[in-house]
Amino acid sequence: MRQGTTPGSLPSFLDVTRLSWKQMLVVPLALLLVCATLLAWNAAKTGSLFNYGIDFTGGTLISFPGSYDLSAQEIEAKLREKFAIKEISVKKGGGVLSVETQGKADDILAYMKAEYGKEGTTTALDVPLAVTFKRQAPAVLVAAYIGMFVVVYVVFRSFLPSVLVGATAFLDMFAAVAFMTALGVRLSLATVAALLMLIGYSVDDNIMLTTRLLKRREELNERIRDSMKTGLTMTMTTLCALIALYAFTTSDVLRDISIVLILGMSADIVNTWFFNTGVMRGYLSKKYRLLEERARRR
Amino acid sequence: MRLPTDLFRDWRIQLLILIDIGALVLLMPMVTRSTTELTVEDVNSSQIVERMLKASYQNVSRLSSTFDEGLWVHRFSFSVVTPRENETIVSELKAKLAGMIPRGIPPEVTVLNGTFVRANVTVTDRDCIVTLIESTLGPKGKVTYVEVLGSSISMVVDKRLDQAELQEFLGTSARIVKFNTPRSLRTNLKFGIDFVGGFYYNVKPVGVTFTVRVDAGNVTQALLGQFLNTTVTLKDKGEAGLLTVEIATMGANAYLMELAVDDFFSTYSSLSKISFVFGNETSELVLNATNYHALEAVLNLSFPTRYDIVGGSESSGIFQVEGRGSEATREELEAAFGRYLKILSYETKVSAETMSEVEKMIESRADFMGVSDLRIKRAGGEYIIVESPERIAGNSSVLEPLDFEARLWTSGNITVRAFTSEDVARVDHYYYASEAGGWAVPMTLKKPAAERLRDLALLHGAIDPDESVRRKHPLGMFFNGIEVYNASFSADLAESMREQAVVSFLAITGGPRDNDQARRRAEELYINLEASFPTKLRTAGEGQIPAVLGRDFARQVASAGAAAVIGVLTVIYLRYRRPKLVAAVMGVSLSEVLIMLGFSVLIRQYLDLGSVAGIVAAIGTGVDEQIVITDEALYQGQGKRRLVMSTRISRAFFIVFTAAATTIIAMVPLAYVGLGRLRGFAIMTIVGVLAGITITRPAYGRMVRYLIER
Repeated sequence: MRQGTTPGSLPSFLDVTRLSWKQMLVVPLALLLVCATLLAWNAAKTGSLFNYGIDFTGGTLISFPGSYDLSAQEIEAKLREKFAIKEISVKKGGGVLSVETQGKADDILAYMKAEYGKEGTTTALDVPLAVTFKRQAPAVLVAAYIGMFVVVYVVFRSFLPSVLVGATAFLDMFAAVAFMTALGVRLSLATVAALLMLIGYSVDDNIMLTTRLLKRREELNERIRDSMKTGLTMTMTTLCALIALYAFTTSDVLRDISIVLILGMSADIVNTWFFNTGVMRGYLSKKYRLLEERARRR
Repeated sequence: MRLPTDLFRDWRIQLLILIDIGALVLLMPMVTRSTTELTVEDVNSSQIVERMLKASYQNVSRLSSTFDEGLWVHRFSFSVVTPRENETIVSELKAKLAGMIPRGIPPEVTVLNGTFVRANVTVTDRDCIVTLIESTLGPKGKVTYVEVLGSSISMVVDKRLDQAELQEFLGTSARIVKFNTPRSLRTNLKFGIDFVGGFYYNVKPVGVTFTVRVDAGNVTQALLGQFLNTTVTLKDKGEAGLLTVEIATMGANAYLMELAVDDFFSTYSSLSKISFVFGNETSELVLNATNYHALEAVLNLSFPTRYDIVGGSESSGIFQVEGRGSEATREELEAAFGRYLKILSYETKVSAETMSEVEKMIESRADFMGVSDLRIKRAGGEYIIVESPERIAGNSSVLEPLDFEARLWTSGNITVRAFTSEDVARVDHYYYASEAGGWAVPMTLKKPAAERLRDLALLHGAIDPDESVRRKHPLGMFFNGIEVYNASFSADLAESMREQAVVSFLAITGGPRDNDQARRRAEELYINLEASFPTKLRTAGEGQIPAVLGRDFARQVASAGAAAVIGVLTVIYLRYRRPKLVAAVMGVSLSEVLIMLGFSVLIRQYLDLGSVAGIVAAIGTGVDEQIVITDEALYQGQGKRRLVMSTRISRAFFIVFTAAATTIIAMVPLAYVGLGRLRGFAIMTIVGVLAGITITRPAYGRMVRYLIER
């Protein structure tokens, strides 16, 4: 294998070093604004910031995977008529028809099997357990986030770079949640697991970036370009695997996990290579300038 | 192509190969024709039922056949004349019929008169044929999948069968129209209900735990004052719970006063009298009441809700109390106990010991009811998740809660706890005891409990020689506070108990022999005592995955995995253009999958959607880190700062270890809390990342080094 810098070359349209570090920051700022708008819009429309699924509200959810041929409105009308349930809502997303109701799950399952030949998975939760989950889930996320931050800080022993890694992970999660509301993906235990996984993935390339920026000695922009080659390859492989998982499965658990990660990892491209890189670039160039001046004075 | 022999001499590579072999041994993949797919038509249910029942019973007749929800449902009826004078025939028959047609609807059995029993059995075509085929399979064989399409029934049997033999066995009961023994890959992997179908329940043992501060003096003053309806003042507090109190007598009769005081001690039996000196103005009472005993006395007030002291210290007067099955709020507890003690903290969950007890009980109860393959997991400190291939809540009562307590009547309507389910060493099958003239459940108490029962019975007169006294102090047995049994001690038992503690006795629910109510009470007492839970269980959540969908999910995960591998390898090839590097990444990632699967066999983790997602997550970060290692190894540095290979690799591992540590740390809270059924996700991710940094990543580093330096 050829010895030299890392193989492959970065396409020039991806080369963020052509921008100034302040210009770089415009992109993540725009993304942040879009996400905030999405969440605000959702809050105005539904009255709550997030869309909680039944894992956090309690109730009964029946999912019929592979129901591309059914119409949600039609099924909802039929079920309402047949079972005289008021509290029922039928939604469809990615070929999964989901029926949210209070009780009568067995009757609905039997009806759907007899009429349409569809088998469904059921989840039923009572409110106290949902409340427990609603209390535990943020605690798990916050604990994971703090744990991650502590490890990063202990390893780098430098404040700004650690905060940037943490902030990037936060922005990724924020974007994932914001786009979830836009796509109608509810917050569930599965999506919480996905957000945890997102922390892991998001931190992977940011740690690589920070290590290289702090330890390598060639020209700063060269370090950034080289890190980008590595980091984008990492993100691409991850996205490939996730898209395969999303495309080939009908299980709502796996689809929820993969869509949240696809959203989060896409946002991670912007947050890592424009936000984290941008701030680090500004910080390091300023630091080098100061060091140079000090050296000159001596 | 030359084999990279020096590569195989490296210990990291050897370790990887060794562990891969170990994982393979654990998984034991084998391609066998070990399953049979078959489709039958023309199922003759009445013939099958007759075949199965006729061996033992005559006059089997069909009552009706109805077509319901795509299935034929048949009702059969037959009667049995029981030559033996044995009344347990009904439950025996029920068990036998349920065993014959395990998938059928529970049979109804009614006694027509003394020796004439009628049984109704309701079965579907599907149940009949499945039961018939399962009866030829032996104890381990099972029909794993059944689908009914019109008049044909398809199924998968996890055993290799022979078509001619099977048809011969079936005879004219059914006609085999399709038969196939496909080659399939068998491993030791255990698939959870997500992939094989089944039910899960999120169960909460109901209860509260709270911490109290109690002072024996205050408690005695309050209890005694209330009981005697007079003023009681604490005069002296001695060592080891010795208390001296002054009771305002106000001209009461000395004899009545003494009687009332004795009554007090028999009601609050944890407190004991030492001396009582009557005085016209004030009487002096010396009693023994430690903080612990005082708390016991207070807690006894709350019957039927039971509160137990589960920990604490006498010197500080701070104790932990558990109320199994209690749903009392903190305010309700304050109202009930607030005047005697101070509640310091309160939680709506049972103690850890109760949690494990409940888990054990669910298991033994499932055994008792013949439900196999139950999986029980803890979810946080409050919930237990039970996964089962069969439905176990609702009518079938594996999860049905019962709390057992026996109480003795002391005076009037006041009762004290005599023993609980934990004190019962064993219960035997109920029968009609002719010598006692009633239906009887033989019970055996643990020794200390038997002694306590004797003390209590002696104290309150429950085993008095005089029958009219005994009648006033019967023993009651309660399930969830509901009385199922109430009887006074028999003369014989009372006599033996006066001599010494008796561990084994019969609980007589009544007679005579044809008293069906008494028999049913005995049956109820027996079954519920045999497997009774320490507390009520609340099913807080449940879910169901049909077998068809589970199989779909498994197939989809396999294709998604294949597609992901192709995608990831394509990206890596496009980036490096080195087929050998692509092969290395693939080999290492596959080893990682192998190690994780092997580990799941080792720790008996059932694969569910969560653990599959965990495997995907671990492989994803694994590939990320391999890319980091590759790029760091290829990076030379410039001019004077040229880096030697070992520096590059160690810099790569700095990044890899940091990333792995953050991923593990991020998963630990989830592994701890569990969040429903997601613990598998956290565990598989952690295992995968750990295997990565200890085994596969070092080996990959060595491979990359070899590929670059050569």
